Amino acid sequence: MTRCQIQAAVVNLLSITIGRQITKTEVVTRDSEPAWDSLKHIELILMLEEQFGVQFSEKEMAALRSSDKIVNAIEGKNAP
Amino acid sequence: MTMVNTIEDEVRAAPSLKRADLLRLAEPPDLSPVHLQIHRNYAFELIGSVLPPFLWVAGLKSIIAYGVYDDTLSFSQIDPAAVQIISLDFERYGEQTHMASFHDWFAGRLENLRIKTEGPIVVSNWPSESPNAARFNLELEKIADSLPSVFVWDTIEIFRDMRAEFFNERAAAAKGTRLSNCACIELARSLGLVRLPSALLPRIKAVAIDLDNTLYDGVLGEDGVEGVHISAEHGAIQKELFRLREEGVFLAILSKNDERDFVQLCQKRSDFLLKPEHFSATSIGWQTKPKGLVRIAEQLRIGVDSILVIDDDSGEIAQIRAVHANTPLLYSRGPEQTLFWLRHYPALNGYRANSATPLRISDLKASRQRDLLRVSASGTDYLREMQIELTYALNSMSSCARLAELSQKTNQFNTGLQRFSEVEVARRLEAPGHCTISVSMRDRFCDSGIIGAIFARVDGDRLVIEEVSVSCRALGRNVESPMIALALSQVIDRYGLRELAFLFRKGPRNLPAHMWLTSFTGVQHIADGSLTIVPWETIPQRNEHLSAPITLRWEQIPA
Repeated sequence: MTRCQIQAAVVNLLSITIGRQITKTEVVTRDSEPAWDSLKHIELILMLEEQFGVQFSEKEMAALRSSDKIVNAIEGKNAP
Repeated sequence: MTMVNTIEDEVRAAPSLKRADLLRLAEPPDLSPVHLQIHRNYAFELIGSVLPPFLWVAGLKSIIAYGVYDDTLSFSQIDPAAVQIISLDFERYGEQTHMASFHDWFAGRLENLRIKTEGPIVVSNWPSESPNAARFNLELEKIADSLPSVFVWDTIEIFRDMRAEFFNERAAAAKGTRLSNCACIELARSLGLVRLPSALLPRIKAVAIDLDNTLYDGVLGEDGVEGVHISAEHGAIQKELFRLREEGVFLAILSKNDERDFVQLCQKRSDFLLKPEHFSATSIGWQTKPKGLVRIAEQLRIGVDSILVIDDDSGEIAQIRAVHANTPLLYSRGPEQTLFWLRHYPALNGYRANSATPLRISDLKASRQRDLLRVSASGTDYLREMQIELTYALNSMSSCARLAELSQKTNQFNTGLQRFSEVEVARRLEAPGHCTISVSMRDRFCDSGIIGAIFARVDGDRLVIEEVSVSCRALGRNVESPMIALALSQVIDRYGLRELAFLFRKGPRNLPAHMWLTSFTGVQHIADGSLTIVPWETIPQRNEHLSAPITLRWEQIPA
């Protein structure tokens, strides 16, 4: 999966999570999105795990605080 | 609830559901709100967030209120009108669950919640194969059976299907639950499609199913009896239909076919398990499906909105929907999906059996014999030959569920349209000065079970009759007046009363009740919402039970 494909999928899941359509170029952070609360964050993690077939530790979950960080983390887990 | 198995419903029927796919679904319009209050000791939110797409199928929109995590089930803040859902991680109680005192404590908490609230209570059992869990789950069934409108949400089957995937301890602290994502979704599916609709909605009374490409692959008229293919899934569909029939759901065939071909299919194909006698009604011919559906409804003596129609032709489905907008519909895309929805269609599964349930099908068969007798005999002879026996019980708690069912479901012969819930009926049964009478009927053809309910209360020297409900299965035997007169005369004598006050509410279909009330009281103008007061001594038909050729007895006699 290319970074671009990962980005597109993450944008899609983040849009579901925060309840508005976000664009590919937009950087979304937990601090800037009140709708991205702790429950939504867990739901997002579950959807990311479903979508990409990856698993996150509790420490990793806590660190996924922006769209960029999520894309980087998934890219890292998918790296050969 | 009109039609499932559109493309969106394929998502809900998928063997492996994804959270994102569910959260992408758009909320349909015109849903009825249902308030849910969750009592939990873990993050039920991961179930609750994917619950709505399942409830939408039943036409329900959930409004969920969460309290704090509470192992003690203190129920400190309660919305009495909401549906109460108790879902616990029982492992958190550790060694305590070994003890009988834990069962007693749990029963006490449920009783406490029952006293505080009016709506249904749904309580999940313990998803585990441990002996402790088995013991607790057995006790829970008993506790739920002993309390009105308390339903067990069975999680064991999901646990057994998923086994190691049901729990996922990884990151349990962060998630707030040991349940896996897949388990949360499966639990939401069972709660939203089956458990909650069956606690909230009246049950679908019949399934009318198409033949070609629904009960088998192929077209009977073209492929012939030997040419149609009956797969293992088709066999499973037939077994599900058998199960529903055992539970009191009528089966019917609604098909454009030659009836003789269908009979031959049943006779010649041993792998076609259903036989003509299993169907309580059929419309097999060349008339339109909407007309065929009306014919089936007439044969079953129920409304078209109580019949689930299953058909593989989207055009036929659309045609039925255009004429009968409230008929539940299932577009059969294939046998696997049909099988899934027969097990999960809202308001079809998950109902508790009551004494009347298994009697419905035999009673309908008997009604045809009664019709024949009515043609050959008339008036008193008909009643005499019917050998009718009526059995009465006053304030019988064992009949609580059936009495509530009569109040809620009876549309034609219902004087007050009070729609008492099981909880309200239970309270009335215990309240001083309240008289709730059940009437059971048996005749030479069959036992109809409890077919009548009278809800009344004593007010001074007056009996206020808030509702008389008589099942449509008992109508047409001309016994309504003697049946009700006997019940009332016993209560009048017991309390030394002088007059009756009948509450009447007009509904869309209760003209038979209005006509009976007019005739029984002798009062010509009975308005919607009125209280018709008449001295007992002036009731023209008050002694009719003394002369009617009917056997009457009290099982629980008023002292």
